Amino acid sequence: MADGLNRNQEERLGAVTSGSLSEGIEMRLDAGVSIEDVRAGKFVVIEGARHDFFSMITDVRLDASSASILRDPPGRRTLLSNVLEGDHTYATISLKPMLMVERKAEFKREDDLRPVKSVPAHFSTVYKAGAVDVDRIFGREDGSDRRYFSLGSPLDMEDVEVCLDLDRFIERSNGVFGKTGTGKTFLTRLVLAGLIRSNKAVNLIFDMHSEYGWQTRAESGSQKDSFVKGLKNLFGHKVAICTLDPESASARNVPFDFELKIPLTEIEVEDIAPLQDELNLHSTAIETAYILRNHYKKRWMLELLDREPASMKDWAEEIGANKESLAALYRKLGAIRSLPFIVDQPEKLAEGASSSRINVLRLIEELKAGKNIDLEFGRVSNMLAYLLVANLITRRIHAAWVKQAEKYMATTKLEDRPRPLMISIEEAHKFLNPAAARQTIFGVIARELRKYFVSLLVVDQRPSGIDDEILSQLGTRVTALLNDEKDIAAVFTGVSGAAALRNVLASLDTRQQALILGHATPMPVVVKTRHYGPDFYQAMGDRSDEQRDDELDKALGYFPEG
Amino acid sequence: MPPKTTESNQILGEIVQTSTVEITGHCHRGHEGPAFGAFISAGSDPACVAVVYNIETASLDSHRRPAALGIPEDEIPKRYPQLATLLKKQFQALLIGEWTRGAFRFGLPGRPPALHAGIKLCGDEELRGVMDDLGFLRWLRDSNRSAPEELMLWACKNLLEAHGWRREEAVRVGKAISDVYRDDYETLRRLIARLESWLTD
Ligand SMILES: Nc1ncnc2c1ncn2[C@@H]1O[C@H](COP(=O)(O)OP(=O)(O)O)[C@@H](O)[C@H]1O
Ligand SMILES: [Mg+2]
Repeated sequence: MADGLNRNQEERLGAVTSGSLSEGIEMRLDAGVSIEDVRAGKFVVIEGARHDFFSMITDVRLDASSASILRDPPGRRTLLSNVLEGDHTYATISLKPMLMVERKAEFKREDDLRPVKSVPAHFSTVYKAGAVDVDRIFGREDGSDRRYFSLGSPLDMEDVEVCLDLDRFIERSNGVFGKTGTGKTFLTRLVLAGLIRSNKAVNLIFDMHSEYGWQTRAESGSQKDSFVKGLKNLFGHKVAICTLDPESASARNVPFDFELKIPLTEIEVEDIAPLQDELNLHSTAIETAYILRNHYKKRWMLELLDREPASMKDWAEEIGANKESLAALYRKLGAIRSLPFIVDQPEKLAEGASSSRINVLRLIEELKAGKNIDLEFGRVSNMLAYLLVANLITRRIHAAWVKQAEKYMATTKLEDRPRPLMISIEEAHKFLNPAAARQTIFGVIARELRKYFVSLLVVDQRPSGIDDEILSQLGTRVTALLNDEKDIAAVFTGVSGAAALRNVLASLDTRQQALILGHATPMPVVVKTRHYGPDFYQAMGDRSDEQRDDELDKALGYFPEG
Repeated sequence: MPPKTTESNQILGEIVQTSTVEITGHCHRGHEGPAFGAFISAGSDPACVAVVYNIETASLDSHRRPAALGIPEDEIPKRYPQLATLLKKQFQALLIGEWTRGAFRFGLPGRPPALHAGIKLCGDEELRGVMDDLGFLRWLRDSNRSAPEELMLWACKNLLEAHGWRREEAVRVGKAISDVYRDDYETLRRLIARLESWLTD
């Protein structure tokens, strides 16, 4: 296929009939090709005179050469219907060219994939894309640097892999979107597995529903009720599970590495501010919190929550705060103290103690050292806990990474370079809605474009809830089915020529299909998501239990019979 | 050269009038003569192909016109044995193409076939060759000879018979007809329905 002239005629779909750079290309489907085989999102190639135009099918339409045929249509399977088919009644396919590649003997991925600046001539032939085309464009999952990671296969091309360019993926913040039950969590876990295996970035996962770290039961789909492996199952010591709810983790038999405790004295007013909505706090309450902080420094929350309610009035006068606000703050922050992972004082950890109880600082040290951390919430998966913990930790991480990045800029020594960190958050709109995005650290990170080596992987079922500016900063968007018009529009925020892709997005299957577009793929593509199951575990280097037993036997000097 | 055929290589008559677009043929005595819409070939190097659009039986002597005999038809040969020698069977056919290098090519021959050239009926193999270039169907309609739609249909019927009425061939012929009637869906619908009724017979 190097010179492009010897494509298999059986792969032919039709011929270009009209089109423009701005509107896309129209193609007439050959009479012999069943229209039902032609689906929105399918990956095709238009063979121009000197270039191949890699394109996506965006729409399929039925046409007739004359209105009288439609007034008096032929019966099904009559000779007349066969006669009209293809010539007088035909299908017009809309295509969106995404990339053009000059046909020549030598192909270099880096140089030869070009944005589309022209259109193929009239009657250029359109072919189904082949494995060679997909490999050329998306790269192959081989080589030792693990740069390309297969996320699935194009529509109707089961044996071909579409790869994500992980080097480019970690250069930006990214999004995984889709309605509930479409496979966001599975997709995210796939991507995280790719990242962990490649060692290209260290990951922190705010695992609200405790589904990433250890094996969980599939909720629906073909594997319903079977267990799927978590990242710790697959990658062992490369991943640490840090729980906020050790009781739940133990009950589920999850071998966690750490339990995180957050002392009240480590909570800053800035950690509370993003909870305004969740706690229904008035802005004067935040001002009051600042007054307390000025008086009591680190102990401000402790002082507040230890007060007798009866003494509030005097106290307010004493420190110059509004007494209603103070009382409201007292009532509402009480909810924080009752979270199981909140402790009053930092625990005095014995040097080198084997206790698994850690604080945020330790957690950050682990990340810096390259350990991927799954922070699971267990039974405390309420929004208050989630927002508090995610904001608090991420603020500290950000500060640490900024510091490190500045040091690196000063010394320019490679060993001072911060390790790229990707933070995964589900329910992202809670952090990144227009109001929150201005306040929370997540908004800052999304806008900074990885200047400080920290980026986000936002996972959300309602992208329209996310601030537009943040959405337009997302590098790569992996999107499963969305139905709501607003959500669909949101996914395409800041994407040029998105109109054609909307159809594609709305016509995805309800599960395990996704449209990938953006920085980490040279062109948008629809994939049938890679199956997260035994084959995948194997590909990630996981050994089955049997293999493990065998190895153990060998190590102990036993050999299998025979 | 047209492909050799077994059943139809007999000369059934000869050309008595010839012109650029059509020929008139005379049947030899004892020959049935071609039917409406039949494909005939005449001459050699190249052999021309024509479609019969008109058939008539008339008196040999143009001054003596047939008159009613007033007896049952099956008694005529017995009572008037000389009658057959006084009548001529003649037919007109539109030239539609010629055989060049073993393949049928639709188009008028540069020179019409010669007067008195023998005329044969095209065999199945030749008819299948004719199917390769159906552009002449439009001519048949536009010629305005006799009943053009009927002419086209019967010609198609003959072609499909040579193919044993295979459905995919019927679709192919139907598509060629639909090209001719691109702007007249009503007629197309009628013609294809006729073809289909033959197809299912
Ligand atoms: N790549 C995949 N491999 C295997 N099963 C999948 C995959 N994607 C989705 N599923 C199935 O679909 C169900 C829903 O996926 P999930 O990721 O939990 O959806 P979401 O997070 O969008 O609500 C899963 O329980 C699983 O059975
Ligand atoms: Mg989920």
